Amino acid sequence: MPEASTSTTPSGLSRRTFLTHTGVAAASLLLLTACPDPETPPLTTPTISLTGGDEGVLNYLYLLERTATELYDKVLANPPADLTAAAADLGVLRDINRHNTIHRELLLLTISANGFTANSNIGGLGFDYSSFTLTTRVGVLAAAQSLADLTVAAYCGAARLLSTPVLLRLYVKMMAVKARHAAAVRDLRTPGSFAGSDVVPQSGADAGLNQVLTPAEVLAELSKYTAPIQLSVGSLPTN
Amino acid sequence: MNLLSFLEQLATADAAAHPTARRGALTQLAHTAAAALPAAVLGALTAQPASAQITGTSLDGLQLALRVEWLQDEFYTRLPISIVPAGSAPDFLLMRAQQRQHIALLESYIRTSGGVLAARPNYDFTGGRGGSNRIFPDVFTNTSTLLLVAQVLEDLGVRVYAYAMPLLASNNAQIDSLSRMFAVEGRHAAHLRQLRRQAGATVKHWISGTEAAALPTAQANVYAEEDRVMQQVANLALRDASTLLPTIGGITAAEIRAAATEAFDEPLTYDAASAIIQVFTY
Repeated sequence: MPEASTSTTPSGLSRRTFLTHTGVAAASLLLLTACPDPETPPLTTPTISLTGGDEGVLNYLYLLERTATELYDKVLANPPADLTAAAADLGVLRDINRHNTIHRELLLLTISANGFTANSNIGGLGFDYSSFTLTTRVGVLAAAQSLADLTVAAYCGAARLLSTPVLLRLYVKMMAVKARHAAAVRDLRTPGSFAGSDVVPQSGADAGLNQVLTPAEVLAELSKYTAPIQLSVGSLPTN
Repeated sequence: MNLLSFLEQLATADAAAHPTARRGALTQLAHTAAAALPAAVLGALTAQPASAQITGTSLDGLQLALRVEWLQDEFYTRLPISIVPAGSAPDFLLMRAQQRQHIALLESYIRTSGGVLAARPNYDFTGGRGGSNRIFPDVFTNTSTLLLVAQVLEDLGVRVYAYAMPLLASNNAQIDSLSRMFAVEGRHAAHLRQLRRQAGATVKHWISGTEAAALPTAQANVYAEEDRVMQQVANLALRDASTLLPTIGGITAAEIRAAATEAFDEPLTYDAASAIIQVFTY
């Protein structure tokens, strides 16, 4: 794996914009590694770019599931003592991980049943959760909430991207459960915070509507856990 | 939908590749009552096997979502705040405020889509439809009954949005908004279940199988079909969600199956949702 410490981008382009353009140009499922051509700016940040169409959207959802199940698998394999003591809370997290694991595996089946290709780089991704405190119940709930709210916001922003009715119907069934997960975790951490104003604005044009994030915003957030690998929207549809 | 486009849709509907298209056209016709067709034509069409039952127009989706939001708004307005669990009064006020925000948006979408806003019906949350044959006679005097009915109404909301959202696929602005309302409904439903858990009920934050009881009635059951494990993943492909968990850590077959039902909130059909709404309206 190449180092990500030095990333050179052409002037006038933000790093993310440059990566996105590069991803589109290469139309690549592959990790982009250091460019061998000395005439072009060296790209030393390894990147995973999503493909276009429903294939890209399904891989995007698969990436979200991998992010979540990696976290929960890690926590549940060795839960903090005060979480083990809170058996009901532990049961909730265990259920959530079962649901997410089912979603992850069903997405893989969905990708193949539609003749698409699962991005093997997503399948092989490692995640660094050292920014979370996974040694206490409160820390685990904070991490779980962070990913659950992010997932819901991602689902709110991606329904428009799917073009196949069957896939949209499947998406909707999973999305509802994602919202339940987020509210459950929030209520365990802070009772009554299930639909707090940090995730559902109370005023303005977005009043009563769940926070929404575009794939670019979601991938930028997830890239914090996949460093040095950067996640790029690549050719993902925008509407 | 006019008659010409209806016939065109029938002509192009390939029953094998698009198993729902013919039935979709039919149900659209039934809901909007836009045209009359010769009985012989209808007879031939209804003979087509239907492999999926979720059909309707975008207006059907918006109208059904609005009827459920009205129902929830009315429920939260009528409930005596003094009997909600200690500390949860702000939660109920928040949920009502969010339902009203959804109502304003849905009403505007229906108007701009050329739909007609019906008058709100009469509501009776005892399930007695204004009469004395009540299902939940103590809904507004007994905290546990109140929470149970609230849960039913919020789970109904989730399953109705699951019906409505795919019908709005051709309108980016509306599907974005509906997604975001749908997510809020999911949060409400999980919270009602959390309040019931705190009150000692054996219930999860998610719908597990068909739940312990058929609610509000066996005939109009908001949990019907929630025990589904076969999921459609492509036009002609179903996959069994109960085969996807690793059998490690002492997990039982029953737990695996339960998880497979919990992981998906199934849409209600238009008719099934209407029957549940009718339990509380007249």
